[in-house]
Amino acid sequence: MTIIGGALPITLQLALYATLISLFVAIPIGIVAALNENGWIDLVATSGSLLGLAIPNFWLGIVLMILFAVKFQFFPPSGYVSLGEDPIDHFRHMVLPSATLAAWMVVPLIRYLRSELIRVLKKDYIRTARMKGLTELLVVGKHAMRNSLIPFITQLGMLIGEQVGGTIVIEQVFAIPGMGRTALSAVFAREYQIVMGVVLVLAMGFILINLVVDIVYVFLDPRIRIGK
Amino acid sequence: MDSRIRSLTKSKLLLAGVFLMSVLVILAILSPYLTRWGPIQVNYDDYLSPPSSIHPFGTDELGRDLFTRILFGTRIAFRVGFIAVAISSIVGIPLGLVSGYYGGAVDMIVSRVFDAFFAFPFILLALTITIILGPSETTAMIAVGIAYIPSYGRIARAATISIRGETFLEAARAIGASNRRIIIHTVFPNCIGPILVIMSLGFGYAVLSEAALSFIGIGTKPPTPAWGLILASGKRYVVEAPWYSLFPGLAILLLVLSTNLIGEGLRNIIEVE
Repeated sequence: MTIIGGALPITLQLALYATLISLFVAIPIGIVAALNENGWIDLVATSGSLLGLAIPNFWLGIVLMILFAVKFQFFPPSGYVSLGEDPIDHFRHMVLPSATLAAWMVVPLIRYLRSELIRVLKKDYIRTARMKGLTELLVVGKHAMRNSLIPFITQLGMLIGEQVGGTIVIEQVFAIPGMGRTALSAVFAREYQIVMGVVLVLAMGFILINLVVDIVYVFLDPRIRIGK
Repeated sequence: MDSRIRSLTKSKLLLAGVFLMSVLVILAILSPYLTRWGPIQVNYDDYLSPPSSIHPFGTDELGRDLFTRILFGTRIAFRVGFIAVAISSIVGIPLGLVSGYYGGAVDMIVSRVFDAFFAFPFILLALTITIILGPSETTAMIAVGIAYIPSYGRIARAATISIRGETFLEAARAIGASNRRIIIHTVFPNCIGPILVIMSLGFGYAVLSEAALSFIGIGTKPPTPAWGLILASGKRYVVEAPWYSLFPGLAILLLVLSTNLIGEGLRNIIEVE
């Protein structure tokens, strides 16, 4: 039990940073791509997505490691330092793994946001908002985004769930003692209890995320009320 | 027929993908003739050497020529891809077709099962299957095949549902065709489009997944030159021999890129129709 307890927060941190990074990157690009449909940013984004989906994320991790940790010694290549010990070192260690994990999440997010936003921007209420004289910022930022966010968040929730697979591999690449690593060593050591424990925790986490997503729905779309 | 071929050639994505794929297939078939080394031929004197004229990709820690290993890895990748896609399609597509056609209780049960599988993170599923069957290339193939069954099933089901109300279905029933006959001869041919798309895309993802499994050690076992395995060894020597990890990853990337191009190209064509 304590093994999992020690490993869980590490994986959670990794997942959290990766999600944040990917959102920071994906949302602006998605919005810009949708606004300039078929403009050059859009084309770069869409063709980039085909390439991006083909890149094995563990390879990307290794390449990043080679670039930033071996060639230019910016970040440490592996290992983990907890937040309590040394915050700066903690983040230095977490940059590369989180970035690798984020890279893999960015592509579907951009795709999804872009297509949803494009669909919403064609709606009549957007036209109304523009006719009312609202600034473009308000039209897109508030009205359009609000409506595209619901399917987007669903997708995000699913991606976070799939992240699990990604973390296992990336923890292996960067030698981070998280849940994935623990589960893997347990499999090799035939320690079935640990594996079951990990699966259980991950399943609970997945359910939790879906629950959070559902709750967020209520805030985003006033038409949905609990108990409806 | 003529216009179909024309629209096929019009899609540059598709052409690029097919071209890339053909190159890879040829490389796979001609592997033994393209190098003078064997894929597991060791040479303890010449280990971890950088790319040179004798060893275009360098050598690994046992002195094996990396170019040869990666070349032969292409064969493994194709093998895995084919069998995994075969498993997923043979099980998933009929289930999806039947579930979409009959609807009702059958549909509900099948859909729930699909959802359950789908919700399960792939690696955990693969881990479980590996514990039962023991790590090997075959286990990886089976694990990947099983894991993607719901994706194929869903697409088949969605395609079936979308043509459910069409008149030609009614017509087929009117002339007394049995349900089985209708599904096989009428429904299925109309769903071929999306099915082909997911088969192409799925091939790439199967290869990617198998590479990931081999990478973390629960897939193909050494000394078989699977790309994922080569990457795993490459990681160990990333400081002394950074080139080691570069090429297997590129190989994976090229293969999956080709399948993605083909899949996207097909999708564009189908959606126009």
